[in-house]
Amino acid sequence: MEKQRVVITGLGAVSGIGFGIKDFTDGLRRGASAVSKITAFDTTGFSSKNGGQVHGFEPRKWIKRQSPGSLGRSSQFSVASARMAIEDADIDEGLLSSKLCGVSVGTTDGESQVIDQLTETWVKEGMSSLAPRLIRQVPAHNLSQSIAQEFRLKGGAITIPTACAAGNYAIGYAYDRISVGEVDFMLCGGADSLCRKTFAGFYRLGTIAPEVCQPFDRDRKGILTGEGAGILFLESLESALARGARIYAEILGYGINCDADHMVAPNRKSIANCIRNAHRNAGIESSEVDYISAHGTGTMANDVTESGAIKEVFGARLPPVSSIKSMLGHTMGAASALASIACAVAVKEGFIPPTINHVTTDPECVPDCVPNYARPADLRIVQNNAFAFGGNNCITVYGKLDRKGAAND
Amino acid sequence: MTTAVITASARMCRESVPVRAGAGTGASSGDWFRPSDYLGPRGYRYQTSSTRYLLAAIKLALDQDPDSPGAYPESQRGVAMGTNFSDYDVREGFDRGILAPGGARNLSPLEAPNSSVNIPASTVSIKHGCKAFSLTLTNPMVAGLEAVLVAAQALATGRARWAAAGACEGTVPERLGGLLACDAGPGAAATLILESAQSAADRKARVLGTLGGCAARFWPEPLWEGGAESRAAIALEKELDRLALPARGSLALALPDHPSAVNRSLRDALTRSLAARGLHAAPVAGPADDGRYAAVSSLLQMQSLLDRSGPGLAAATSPYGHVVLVALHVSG
Repeated sequence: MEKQRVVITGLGAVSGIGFGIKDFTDGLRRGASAVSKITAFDTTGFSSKNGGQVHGFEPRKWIKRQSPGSLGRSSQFSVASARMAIEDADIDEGLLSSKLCGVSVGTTDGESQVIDQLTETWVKEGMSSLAPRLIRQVPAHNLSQSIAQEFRLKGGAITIPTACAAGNYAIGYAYDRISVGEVDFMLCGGADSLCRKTFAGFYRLGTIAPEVCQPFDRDRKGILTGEGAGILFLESLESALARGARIYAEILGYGINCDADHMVAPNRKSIANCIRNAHRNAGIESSEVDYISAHGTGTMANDVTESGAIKEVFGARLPPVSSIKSMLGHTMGAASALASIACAVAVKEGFIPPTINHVTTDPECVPDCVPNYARPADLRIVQNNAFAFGGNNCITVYGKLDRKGAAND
Repeated sequence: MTTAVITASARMCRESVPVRAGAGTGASSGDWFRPSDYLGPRGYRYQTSSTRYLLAAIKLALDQDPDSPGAYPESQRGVAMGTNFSDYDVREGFDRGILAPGGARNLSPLEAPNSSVNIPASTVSIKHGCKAFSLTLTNPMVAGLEAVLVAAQALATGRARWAAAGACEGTVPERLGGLLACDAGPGAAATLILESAQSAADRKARVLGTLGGCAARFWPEPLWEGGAESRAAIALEKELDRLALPARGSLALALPDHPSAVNRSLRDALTRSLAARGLHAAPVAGPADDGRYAAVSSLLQMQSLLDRSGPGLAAATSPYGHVVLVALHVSG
């Protein structure tokens, strides 16, 4: 069976730099920063207190068929982003419900903020004080299920908890399902909310920055945890053309692998292999890539290792490489989904999002991290890197649609 | 598309503690699992119980076929695992540590990775050199079958030629047991070794079963209203058509027997639909049919299909509406 080409026709984002694709794109262009003092949990006792918290989120604006209070914060982000993506795709909800639309959402922590809350209650007041309403919110499957319930979708709902690369995994899964004709549409991406557990875990690993995140900078000090969600609406090219949809970009393919080496240390050779897998799956040469959206966490280990892998594959012809984690913090399972959205608008609107907070480039890292200011660029093919604890790597490749001759609007 | 075959199957659960040569004799009801019997004397100190069960189940599966997975390069070996609760005790332990005097200093960096639910799958990847992919799935009750489905799809699309597909759980925390459709049980793990049919034939591997079509759908309770005329029942008909089941005869059916409305509805609809197709559904029993092992339960029951020859259908539901169907055929 011939595989169908898959395109992105709707985007939804909840982030610390804006809600919805217009505000998110504006934030990327401006090099906005989501960083503020964390209020989501008590940071007493930690020497670092900043994060990419989302402020001013009003779930009732986007969650219509479920009680927002019945959902944890990550699921609220997830449903809100899905509604934004559907509205952006300009497709009728009834059509989605009557045809086969699936959901795949990646996450690191699911509803960890709820677990934080339950554990605190348990410790301070005992198990009998635990609210059943909160217990029901705990499982991570709520992140995808809540979207399926909100829009009455029947094409399956799956949550993929492959940590910090999970958004790309969910997009890859969705791409496969549409390309083989198993479903008509997919809502896919990632979501996570700030939680004490992840903050503390990274803190104990010595990787939380004191103030800001500075990927590829000589003086970088680590990550800042963040939160948000990014959901993409996917359909076949044939479907998009038939309904006259606006097409942001085509998903050309993706690469996936596992370091099978170390639980937390990134592996240069394995990342290089994943990049090659992605290029092979997308049917492109490395020389065709115009921009790389980096995993770019701002830790010493990641940025040198990722840069080394990029240099190994791309050789002397290094494309610009930037990290939007400098703006958003590390939004965990949402990170690569939000970065994929950034790639899609970068291709569509012709600019490269910057790496902010940049002062001095680390000579061991990539030489051009698009420092501090967005850059106009005609992007034909871009790749989005994502790596995770457990050695889980997933790299997605996006292309401007007309590169293979199809008409664009 | 490449067909996937099952070349090994193993489990680690209290109801069917396997006997291993050289294993100790401590498998009483209160001490049914000793990791050293399966994993050697050291190396698992910082692993969660679910990871240990999983590694033991994988070890037993690989013992059945010593040439596997070494017959394939590491880049062609993948892992897909389902779990619902593997990380909960670690996550809560983190929170409790932070809330105690001393705060974050109570946390061990060596245990930090275990707070991520994908770690059991990645531990298998590290131990057995599986570099093609490492995937974790988490839908309630159905994640084990979903892992089989996703692994089979990965083989079909050429991302790997060998995969360990399975599920694992630690003890389900008492306060979360209500999220299941039954009483929560202790931990368990189960795994199937999948290979592309051509590759298995090339190396003359023993084939336990051949996977057919698969489907993952979301049919919550309201969609089942109306019985045979319900939207879910009608959608099920289309899926059964797609699965390419045999025209008539007996079909072994593995479906955990938990009391959720969705599960009852699917059972009724399957029985009705299969009968209308001239198929006699013959339910098979697993070691724990009531779903007490969460994501592992459906896989435990699917393994029972391998004990009898002929066509089979493994199905699983969540109380919320997730439905997974996996068809297979077991040669005599």
